[in-house]
Amino acid sequence: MGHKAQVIIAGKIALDLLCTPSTGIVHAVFQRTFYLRKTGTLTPAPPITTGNNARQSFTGQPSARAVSQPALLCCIGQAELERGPLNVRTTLNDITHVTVGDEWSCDQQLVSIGNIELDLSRAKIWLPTPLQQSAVPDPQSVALLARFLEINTPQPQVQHRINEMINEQLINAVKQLQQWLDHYQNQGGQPAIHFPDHLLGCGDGLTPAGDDIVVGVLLAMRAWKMPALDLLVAEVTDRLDTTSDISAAHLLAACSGSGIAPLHQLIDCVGTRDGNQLEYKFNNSRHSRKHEQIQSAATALCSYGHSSGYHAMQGVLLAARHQQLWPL
Amino acid sequence: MSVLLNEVRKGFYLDSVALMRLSAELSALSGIEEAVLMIGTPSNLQIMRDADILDSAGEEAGPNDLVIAIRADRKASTNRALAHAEKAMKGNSAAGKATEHRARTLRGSHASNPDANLTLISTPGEYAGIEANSALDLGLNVMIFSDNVPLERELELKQRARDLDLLVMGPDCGTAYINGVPLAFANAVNKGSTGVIAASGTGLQEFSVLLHRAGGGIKHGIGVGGRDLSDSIGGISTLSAIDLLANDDEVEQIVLISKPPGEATAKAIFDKLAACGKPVIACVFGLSASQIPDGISCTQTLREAAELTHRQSANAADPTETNTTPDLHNLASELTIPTGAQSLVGLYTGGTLCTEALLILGRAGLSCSSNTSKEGLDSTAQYQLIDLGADEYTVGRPHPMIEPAVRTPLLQQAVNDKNVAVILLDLVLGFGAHEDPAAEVVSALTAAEANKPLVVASVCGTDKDPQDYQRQRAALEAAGVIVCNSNSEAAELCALILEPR
Amino acid sequence: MSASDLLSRGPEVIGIGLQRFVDDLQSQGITASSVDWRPPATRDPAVLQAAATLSSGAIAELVNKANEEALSRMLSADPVLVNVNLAAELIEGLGEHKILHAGPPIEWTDMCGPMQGAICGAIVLEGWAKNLDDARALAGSGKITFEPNHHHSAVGPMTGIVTQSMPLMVVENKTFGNLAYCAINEGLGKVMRFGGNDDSVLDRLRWLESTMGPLLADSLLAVDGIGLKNIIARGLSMGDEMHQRNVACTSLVLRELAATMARVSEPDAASEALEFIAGNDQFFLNIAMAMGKAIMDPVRDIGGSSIVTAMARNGTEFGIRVSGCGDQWFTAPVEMPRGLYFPGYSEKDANPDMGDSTIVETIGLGGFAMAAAPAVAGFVGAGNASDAAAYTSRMAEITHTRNPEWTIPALDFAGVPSGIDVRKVVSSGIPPTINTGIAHREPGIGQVGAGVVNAPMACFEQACLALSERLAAS
Repeated sequence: MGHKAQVIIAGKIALDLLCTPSTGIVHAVFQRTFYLRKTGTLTPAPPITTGNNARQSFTGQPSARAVSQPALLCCIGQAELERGPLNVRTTLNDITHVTVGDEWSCDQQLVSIGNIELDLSRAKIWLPTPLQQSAVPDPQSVALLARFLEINTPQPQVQHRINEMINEQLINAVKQLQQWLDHYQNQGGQPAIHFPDHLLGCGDGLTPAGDDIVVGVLLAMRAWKMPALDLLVAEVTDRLDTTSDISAAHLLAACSGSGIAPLHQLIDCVGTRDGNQLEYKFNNSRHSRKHEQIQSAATALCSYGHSSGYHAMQGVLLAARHQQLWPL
Repeated sequence: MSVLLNEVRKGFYLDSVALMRLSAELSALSGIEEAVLMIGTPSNLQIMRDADILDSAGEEAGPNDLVIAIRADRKASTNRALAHAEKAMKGNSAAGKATEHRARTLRGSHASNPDANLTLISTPGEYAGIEANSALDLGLNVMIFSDNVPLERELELKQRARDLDLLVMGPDCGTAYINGVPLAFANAVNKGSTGVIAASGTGLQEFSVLLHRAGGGIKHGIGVGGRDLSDSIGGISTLSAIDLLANDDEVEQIVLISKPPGEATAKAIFDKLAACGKPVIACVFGLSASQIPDGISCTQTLREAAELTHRQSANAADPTETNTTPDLHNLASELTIPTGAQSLVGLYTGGTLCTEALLILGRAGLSCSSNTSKEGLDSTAQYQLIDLGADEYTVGRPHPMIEPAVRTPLLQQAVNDKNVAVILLDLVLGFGAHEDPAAEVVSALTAAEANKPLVVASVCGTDKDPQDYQRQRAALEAAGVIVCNSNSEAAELCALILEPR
Repeated sequence: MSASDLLSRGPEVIGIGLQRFVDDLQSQGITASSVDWRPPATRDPAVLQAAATLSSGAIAELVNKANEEALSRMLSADPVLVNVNLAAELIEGLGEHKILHAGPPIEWTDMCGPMQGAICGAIVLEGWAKNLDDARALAGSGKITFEPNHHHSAVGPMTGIVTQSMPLMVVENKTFGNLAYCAINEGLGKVMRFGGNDDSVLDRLRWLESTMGPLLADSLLAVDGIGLKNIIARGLSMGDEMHQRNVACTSLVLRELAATMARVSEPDAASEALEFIAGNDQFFLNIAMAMGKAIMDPVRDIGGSSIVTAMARNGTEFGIRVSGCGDQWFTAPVEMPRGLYFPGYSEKDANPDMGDSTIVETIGLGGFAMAAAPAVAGFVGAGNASDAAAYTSRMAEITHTRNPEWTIPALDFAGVPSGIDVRKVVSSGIPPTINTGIAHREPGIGQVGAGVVNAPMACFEQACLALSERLAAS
């Protein structure tokens, strides 16, 4: 007896987690989704190296901090669930029978969670579209994105002191991140200042705003092959224990190069395919389409989570501006 | 003197929206100076510490815990706010469990909804018959969306329903309108004076959409299922539907959309239609006008049927006009196909639309191979029309109208095939359908190389549909797709393009 | 609702299957609700076919008619607590070396620990062996006959052990004239129904036999019996569901008896007896059980009826009887209760589900009346008090009707769901929900928790098959 459902499409990380014979428990349950946690933990995969930058901390020494052991999580949802590395879109009609702590197991491509059975055999794998060679952010697109973010600043439901304090701390942390990146460039790959301590885990919401920003930065830096990426990945993986398990799982996915589909789409729009920015200056019709594309990708992202999409875009903007200051 | 209270919930998650809402609700309670709900990451704890709203209990929180911090004028206020938070979180932790009890059986649901008059069944086919039977037991009309209901079961159900003065729509009834209300896969169209009897889903959708755009509207659209007009069923539901529409004073004309009926059944149906006392228009695919008795107007395409219906209806503003059909010949002559390419690929999500295109192209001399025809699909044929809603494409997958991504790889393949001159597509909007089918098509086209095939499409939808017809159309046109006003027009255009010039 | 009503009034929809269709209708302001549909629990085509056969055509009409008769007998019953007497006097053939037990028939070697422990205690109580060790040897020797209570118009909670010298309460169904019996509830803790068998247990049983029984009998004769239908109706409105909560009904009975008992007996004895009743919230459970048996016995053996007449567990197997199949038992391995444990105990200590007390669910009380007893929902671990109503609503989906005389205020005085229909159990996949006490798996420790347990679906599937075979043959 039970609900049988098909997995329609699932992110690679989620599918890897489910596909190997495994067991675990239901980690969290929300209105339309729930998270599965796999028994055991994972050491983060080493970042893909783009240059000769070995993984080092800001002191130039290999990190002394123990690599944190983030939980293995994936997110099960219904047909409307966005495509993403941890997301598993299923034909489930309703998830009201799932409770935190329920055990799950996977065997023979069949995931059993209480009386729910998810069939993985026909699942499609979702991966972000492969990176374009030599893509760089296009100045006009960056300006468009900046304008969009300015107009669409999320309004908190109540204006209280804490919100202002969070904002202040975020702004400071983001500034520090910018400086950290800039120093990386100045010092030829050796940032001399401390990575911001209060960026990860900062903010209200399920995934703190600071984490969302970092996710945006990570993905954009990878898309545009920015050299500081490896160091940033190292700093982030060292600090995964300073935020919630769910947010850490998303950060870890971003470290390995994947985030939710609309975020990849946006980064794709902001970058130019061939780096030939003149093409856009002289081709008005193409340009107006670019404008629409960014507008629609950004609007789609804004509706993701409470403000997660918005903050991730801030991260993309941060990376784009940094890349413009320090072109290859 | 204000009072501070911290409460830590270990390993407790709420989604962001719920957190924000709750924090706003708490702040609005009387006596509350500040109310904050945040996960206990070191960063957040630092902020709370700086804000002086963290006490020793809150200090203990970890990154996976929820901290509730409340500052208020007195102890009673903090306690009240905390109780409010706990209640709200309980509701959420059960993820809807606290909501109303939903019955597990039709009988249980009917007991609390005694005024219900229709059961919409979309279970797997093997169970649909059992549920339909219990619906009839309860005196409910039935719409069976499910397919794969055995023929003998269908006959049994329909005979029973006839004896009970009830209506069975389906099985495999994807679309219906009752008193203007769209059911299952249906578009948001105006309510009007037309009563339709249709064997299929997308046929009824395309007709209603075209009638709506012409300015008309639908009173009822009764789906009878693909097998109702076969001689094994004998048109039981169709005959009931004719009686029902004939007796509804608000129905001014009756339209029949179907494939050719069985021989014996055809006579019964057409006799009854001819005698029903209202104007009747028939769009029976594969049947010529001579095979339909006088007194029944006959059309070859859904577009003609919709136009004729609108012209005949009393409230048509200007019965002479409405030929807004663009000059397809002109259009076709302006289009150029890739050099050396000659073949046509049609990728359909709507079965009846595929059949309609097959007939139109056939009449124009382009004999197409299709999986909807008896002969099946010949993948080497020059002209191919594929119904992606057919079983071989949908086993274990959502129908392409729900998840059009099924079409994407085939579309990409066709776009990059040097032999393909024209690609013919349909997009079905409306309730139940995918929220943005155009995006899937556009994503497949952007990867195309130069000298790519022409893409001709029609969008079955209205401006009132959740997906918005104009937006979908614009998205396609922006990607270089030639969008026709109807499926038949799209098929006709393809025929003209491929005509030897 | 004829087809023309549908067209003129417009659709008011119940959806089964895809939720989005119902959501779409609701978003347009159309009245639509959905069924929380799941595929049938069984995939055995023979069982599904049997359920379908019993639910369609002429056979369905025959079954429906038989069920109407069954329900009219259930609802017209008039159970009255009339007497207390020794088992040997009441049950024909119950003498030396014969022991009655709960549930369907079972051999000594298949019995669980508590059941064996209780039997050893009963053997010592009867004097058939000097001590428990000898009793165990005797029980396994084949010289003792074991038979189910249900075969002798009797029922017993948990182990349900009945021997000749035990006092049994007698409930008479005045409408049909039949009698049914159940032992006097011993109280909580170390008691025979949970497998207890030491001296304190046996002493209490002796006291029940010598003092309590005769006193109750005298009092009942003096008040001319206690009508139970009314007590149940009032108990439901006072928060009892008569399985895990009997505090209201126990008090009501105490009120009926107290003055008379004081009049008919020595003051010391009356004081002791009244104190015993007052100290045991579950005193009424055994009366409710005898009442259930008295109500259901006249419903047995109505040709074609698919109504369940008994549900009982012997600690190893769960058994049901169905009216149209006479006295045949349909059994399946008993399930473990899910519930809450007293401090210091856990699931590891639990004995599988046991006892004839499921007779109260058979007549629509217990788990079926959960909505009347929100306090119990929490106690048995069935969720929040607000969830209690859902249990009752769910049970209404597998029963023939609601009992108009036993109503639940919280459900706007809807009656308790009555008459479990095996067809509906099988086709809906909803098993009857039972509120139960949980016994320790070692004899003599007693109750360690309370919970809910589902009747195993296999019993109902077998019954469906057997009933459809019988009907096909006739």
